[in-house]
Amino acid sequence: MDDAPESLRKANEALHLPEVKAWFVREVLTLEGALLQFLRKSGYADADAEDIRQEVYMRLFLAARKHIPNPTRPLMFKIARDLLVDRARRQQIVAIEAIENLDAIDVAIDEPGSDRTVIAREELRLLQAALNKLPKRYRDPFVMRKVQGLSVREIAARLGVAEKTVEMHLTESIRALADVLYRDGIELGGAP
Amino acid sequence: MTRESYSLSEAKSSCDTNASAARWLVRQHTSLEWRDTDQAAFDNWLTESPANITAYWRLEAAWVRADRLAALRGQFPDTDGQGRYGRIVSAIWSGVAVFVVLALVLVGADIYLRSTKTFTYATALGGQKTIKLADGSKIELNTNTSVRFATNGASREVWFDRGEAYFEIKHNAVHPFVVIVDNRRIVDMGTAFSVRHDSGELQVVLTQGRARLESIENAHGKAVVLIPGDIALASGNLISLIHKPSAKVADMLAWRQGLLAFDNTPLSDVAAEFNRYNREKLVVVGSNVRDIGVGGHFRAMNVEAFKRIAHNVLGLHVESRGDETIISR
Repeated sequence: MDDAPESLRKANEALHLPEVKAWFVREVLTLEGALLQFLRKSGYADADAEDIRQEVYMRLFLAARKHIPNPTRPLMFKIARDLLVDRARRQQIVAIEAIENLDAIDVAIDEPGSDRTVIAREELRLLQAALNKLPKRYRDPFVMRKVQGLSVREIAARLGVAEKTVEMHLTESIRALADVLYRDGIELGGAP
Repeated sequence: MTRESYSLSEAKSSCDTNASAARWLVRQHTSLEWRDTDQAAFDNWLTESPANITAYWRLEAAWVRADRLAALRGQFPDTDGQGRYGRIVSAIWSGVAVFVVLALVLVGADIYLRSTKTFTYATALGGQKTIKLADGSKIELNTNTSVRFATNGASREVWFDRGEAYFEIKHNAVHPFVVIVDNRRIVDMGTAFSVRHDSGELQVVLTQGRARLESIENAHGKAVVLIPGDIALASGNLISLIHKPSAKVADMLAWRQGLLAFDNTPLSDVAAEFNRYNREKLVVVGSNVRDIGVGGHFRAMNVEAFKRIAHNVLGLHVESRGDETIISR
């Protein structure tokens, strides 16, 4: 692998950003629910909202690499608004409506979020509720992995499916679980 | 694991990016083998776009949050994999009603889990054993110790049920080695360390590199990063951290050579140390006897030598009663 040193150097750059990563998990992910709500009110849902969310995260990340923003919320929504304006310009039909909406929504999003801190028990309940929303074929392998600590091979044997299938189901479950966890906008219990 | 999953397609839409991130995440956390070439391919993917990094971090954080489910199991250590379900459920019922919800999932999963065996490595009283892991990491188990893996020898996650062990970990920044002890975990950051866990107290002695000691309950709570010479003692919600010179640290790891090292250690503690290794139990009677300071190195299995010293040097009365040996004035 000729480009290994180069790729490793780049990876190290990306991975040795523990502060950025900690900030991202602590500050950005906990705002995901608010961001998606804002996008929904602006007329973006599903795949469109996902695309915008990802773009927002990417730009936040690039900004944080230079200087970790504090607070995060205003910058996140500034980026989101800029993106929406860009989009609105490109899709001129919805332009006026979308931009008008932005000011009204601005007020709403600056309200303090509902309980950002929940106790551990609540977190467990939330995880549980999130798991329950997954289709059974995704949930079972995930529970076997996370509660029982089984390997993919063992899960496959137990469920009588191919290891590839187990991997695929785990892949789907973690995506769905992340969506539910972050959409509800609740973070792990902080300091009591 | 076949090769085709390595060539993850160029991710463009958020959906593709997420799917790729999820595939990498699952592979990293479940693969039995993780080669340098895998790492290089992952690094390449990750650095293709900042979007890949944020997508990966996002899913990884959710994956880690779901560890809480395992933490619950870790609080009810079991070594043979049987009877775990019953104990968890009864503990939940007798505990907090909210946990009932989880029990329901366990009921659902129980069909598959009832006959499950995890891979347990254990030593008997006085025993020692070295486990070599597929990635080149090494775990030395001291007396009366039990650890569990989800997979046979290739896992990067170990449940520490009881006893004492020394870990020499081949470091992988992306795929860190994790030792789960009750409601805490130790995450290696390029490390050799020893873990001791008995009567509710966790002791971590760090000899090389770095390791992070953190609570599973509260992923955003304070984590303690240990450096060589650091000794962390955790019990309940408290963690205390002391730093000792390397000679002291070496003494704490003398068990790896089958030795017990004491330095003005109260006789009652000395007896307790011997008792960890031997069926014959030393019982020290009398507070003025219990506090006598003892120094030096002893063979852990050689209770006789210690009894001779107690009698001949310290002038104490040593009397055997079945499996117990009473030391008194």
